Amino acid sequence: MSTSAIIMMAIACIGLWGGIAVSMAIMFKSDKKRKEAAEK
Amino acid sequence: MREQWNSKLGFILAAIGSAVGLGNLWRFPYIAATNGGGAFIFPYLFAILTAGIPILILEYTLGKTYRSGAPGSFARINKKFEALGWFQVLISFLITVYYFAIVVWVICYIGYSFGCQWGDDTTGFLYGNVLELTGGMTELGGIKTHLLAPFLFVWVVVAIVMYRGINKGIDVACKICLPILLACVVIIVIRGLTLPGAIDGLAYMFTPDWSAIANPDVWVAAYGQVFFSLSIAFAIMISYSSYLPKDTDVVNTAFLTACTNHGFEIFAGIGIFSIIGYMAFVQGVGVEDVAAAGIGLAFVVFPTAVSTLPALNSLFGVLFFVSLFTAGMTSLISIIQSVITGIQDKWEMSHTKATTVVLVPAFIVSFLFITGAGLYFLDLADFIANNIGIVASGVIEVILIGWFFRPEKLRQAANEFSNFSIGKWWTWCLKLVTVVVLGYTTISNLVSYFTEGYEGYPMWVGYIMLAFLIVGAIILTLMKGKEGFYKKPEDAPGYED
Repeated sequence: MSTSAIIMMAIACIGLWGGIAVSMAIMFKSDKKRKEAAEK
Repeated sequence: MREQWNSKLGFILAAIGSAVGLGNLWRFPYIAATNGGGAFIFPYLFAILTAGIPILILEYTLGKTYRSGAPGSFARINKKFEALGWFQVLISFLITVYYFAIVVWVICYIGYSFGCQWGDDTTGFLYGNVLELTGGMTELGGIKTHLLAPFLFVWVVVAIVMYRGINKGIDVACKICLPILLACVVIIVIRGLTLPGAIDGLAYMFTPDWSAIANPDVWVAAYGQVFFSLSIAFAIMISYSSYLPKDTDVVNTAFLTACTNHGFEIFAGIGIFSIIGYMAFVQGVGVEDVAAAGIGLAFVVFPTAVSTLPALNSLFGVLFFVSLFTAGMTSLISIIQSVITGIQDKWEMSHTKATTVVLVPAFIVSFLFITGAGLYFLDLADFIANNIGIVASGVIEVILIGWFFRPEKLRQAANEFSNFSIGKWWTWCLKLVTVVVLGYTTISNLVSYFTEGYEGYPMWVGYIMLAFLIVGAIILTLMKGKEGFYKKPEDAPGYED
C-alpha cells in the first residue's frame, strides 16, 4: 500500500470520525449547560 | 397533540439508522474504488460539506419549524409546493415495496450462512436457488414459496414497530439494531485487517488516481453517493424532524448525522475490501477482477469471500448478513414512517389508521418482488426511484426553497437554538452548488433513460412507475385535507411574510 493511499485513508478517517467527536462534544457541552441553567 | 421524540438520543439514532443503510455497506466502497480511489475522498468530503450537510440542515429545519411531514411542511410554506411533498412520499412508498424483498433475501442468507450453503457457484445459487429468476419481466413465475416465511416475518416485525409509533416503536428498534450493526461491523473489520491480502484490498480502495479529480463524472458520483446515502429528498428527514422539540439544535445534529453516516461507510468499506483483498489473494487474481457493488457484492462476491476464510466461515457470514439486516431494517422503518406521517397529517387520522392505510397496500404490492421476476422489477424500481425520482425531487426542493422562498428565514430558524450558527455559505450552497450538480445529474439521467432505457427493461413498465409518482402526487395534492394541515405554526415563516 503506497504512502499516498495511507494518507488518503487517514484524511477520510480523521475528517469524518473527527467530525463525529467534535459534534458529540458540542452536544454534551450544551446539554450540560442546559441542565445547569435548569437547576438554577 | 403531536407525538415528540422522548429524547434527543432517540432522534439522533433514528436519523443515523435511516441514513446508514445497505448503500453504506455495498455501494460506497466500490464507488470510491472505481472513481479515483483515494482521490475520490476530496470530491466526497467537498460534497458532504456543500450538499449533504446543507440539505440535511434544510430538511431538519423544515420539519421542526412547520411541524409536519414533507407534504404538510411544503404546503404550509406555499400550497403550490405541496405536490413536491407527495412526490417525495410516493418515492418512499415505491422504495418501501421493493426494500422488503432485499431484507427478505438477507434473512435467507443469514440461514444459508450456516455451513456456507451457497457452495462454490454463488451466482448460480442466488439466481437459480434463491430467486428462481425467470427469463424476463413479463414472465412472473409465481410467488416463490420458500421466500414466504421470511417475507411474513419481516412484515410482522415492521408492522409491530410501525404500529407502536415513534417512541415505543422506531426509537426502541433503532436502539436495538444500531449497536448490533456496529458490533458486527467492528468484528468484520478486525478480522478483515488481520487477513493476508487485506492490504491489497485497501490499496485498491484508497490508492489515489489524481487524474480523476479533473473528471466531472467523479464529482457527480461523489455528490450522488452523499445524496443517496443520507436519506435526503424523499421525505424521511422532514418527517422525523417534525417530531422534534422546538429547542433542538438542528445544525449540530445534521453535522453529527452526516459525519456518523459517512464515517461508518468508510469504516465498513475498510472491513469489506480487506476481506475481498484476501479473497483475491487466495484465488490469485487482482482485487479489481472480483470487486463489485450492490446485490452482486452482497450475495455473490461476499459469500464467495466468506467461503474462502480460513476459519469460522459461518460466523462471518452471519455477522455480515446480520449487519445488512439491521442496517436495512432501520432504513425501512424510516421510509415507511415518512409515508405514514404524510397521510396522518393531511387527514388528521389516528396513528393506527394511517399505519393501516399505508401498510395494507404496501403488503399487497410487495408480493410482486418475491416472484420469479422480482429482481427485474426491483432493479427498475430502484433505478426510477433513485436515479430519477430522488435527484429530481432534490433539485426541485432546493430550487423552490432557494429561489422561490427566502432561505434566509430558514437559516434564522435553524440558528435560533443552534450552538454554532451557520453563515450565508449555507444559502449559497443550496442556491447554487446543489442546484447545478443535482440539475446536471437529473437531466443526464432523464436523457439517458428516455433515449437508451435501462438494462433493456420494457419502457412501459418504467413509464407506469413514473406515472405513479407524478400523477399520484397530483391526485393526493388535489384531495382536500383537514383545515389544520395547511395552517402553519405561528412562529414559522410564511411565503407572504
